[in-house]
Amino acid sequence: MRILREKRETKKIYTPTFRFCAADAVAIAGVILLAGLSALYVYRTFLFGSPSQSLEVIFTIDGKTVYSVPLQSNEVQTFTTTGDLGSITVTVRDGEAAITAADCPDQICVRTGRISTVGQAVVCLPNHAVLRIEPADGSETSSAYDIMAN
Amino acid sequence: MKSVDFFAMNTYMTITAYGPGAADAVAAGEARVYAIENEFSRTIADSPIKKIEENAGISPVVVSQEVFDLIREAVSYSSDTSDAFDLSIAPIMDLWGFTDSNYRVPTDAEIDAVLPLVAADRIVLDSKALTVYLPEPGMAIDLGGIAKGYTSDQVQGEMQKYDITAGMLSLGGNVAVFGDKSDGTRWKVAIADPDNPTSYLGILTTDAISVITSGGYERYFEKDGKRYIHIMDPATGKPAESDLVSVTIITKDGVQGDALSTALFVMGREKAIAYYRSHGDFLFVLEDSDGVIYIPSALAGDFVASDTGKEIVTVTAEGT
Repeated sequence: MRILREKRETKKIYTPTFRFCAADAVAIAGVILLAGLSALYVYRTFLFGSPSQSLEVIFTIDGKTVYSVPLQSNEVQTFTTTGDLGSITVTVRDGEAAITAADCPDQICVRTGRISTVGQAVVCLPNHAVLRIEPADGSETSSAYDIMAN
Repeated sequence: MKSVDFFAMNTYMTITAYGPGAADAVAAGEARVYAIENEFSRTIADSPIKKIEENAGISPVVVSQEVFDLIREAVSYSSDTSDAFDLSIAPIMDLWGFTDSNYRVPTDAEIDAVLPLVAADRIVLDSKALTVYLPEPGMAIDLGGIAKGYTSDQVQGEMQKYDITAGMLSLGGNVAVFGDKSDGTRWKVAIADPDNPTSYLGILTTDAISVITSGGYERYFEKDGKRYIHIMDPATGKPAESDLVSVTIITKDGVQGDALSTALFVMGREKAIAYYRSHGDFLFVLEDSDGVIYIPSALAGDFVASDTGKEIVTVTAEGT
């Protein structure tokens, strides 16, 4: 470093000067826009909630509602219920819900994965348990499909 | 609109009806499910199916016309699919623990001992006496691979006795839709993505139809790092080593859809497509283990794949 500086001082070949030009403005605006969009994306559920309506997660055993909670929440929520075959744990986070643990031999419910839209359900057959999503106000919703075959 | 959901036939069912008589229609539909379950369940004591099993190697059992007809239809699907679907697979399902969820991997010797009991062609049917006879002790009939499709057809028939405009059923993921939607649009049936079962491969736009999917992705167990799926190959007595991961049958006939979704899975891609070309009275969506989706050209206008990046291959009815 010292040698470089000495060379510059002695020879004065190049003195960098900063001139703000149009291309710099575009680049900076782009970075700010990207940062803003990223933040919006990350915090979209926090900022906007559900775009059109509020949804709730409903957990039933043998058709009886054990609990219902808002799907949109700023914190991770876990609920553990005891069914016929032992405990069933439901996790709600970032606008998604899943059965994350169950004392059953099949584990089909855990493998089913996360749900986030009306009409989707996670079923635990041995426990007769169903986790599903419904509009909080009970209204009908438009979905990409009427019913799903699986 | 009225909808009910409940557990029956060891699965989760939803029944929905639209129109003035919707509440009565779904109640009648649900009642029909329980009535059929009592006839056809292998796990309900005193059901005709259980009595046939208990009398295996002893004597023929007199059954109702309904039970006789469905067993006869199942036998004919076994023969028509070269036993890729076999209603007498029950002893093998028991051996692997799929009947009671006590999963285990049997030895080859155990499988070899049980496999001769899996033989749909040995079931003795007497259409005059209305009897069913299993000639060897240990043989058993399990209509699980066909009963939901039958139930779906029956429930639709029951619901249509009421003043409804439309209805839809999901009997453990076996779907049927019928009637006209109030907004005048055609039905949209999503087909589950085996890689992410709460998402879908694509959406089928259709009029009244049954859509029945089989795959190894839902029910399986793992032992020492190996996955054992619940769809058994009747030829080997072991989980089907299919190159397909998901088979969906689209048909007016729920029994056919149920039987063929299992049979075509066991057959694998080439034989499944050959079966379609030789029969042609149904449509399908197949996905193979390379993530390629196969649909018949007749379905090309009505099936919209979702953005999974999977390749779609169109299959002609005549072959090339």
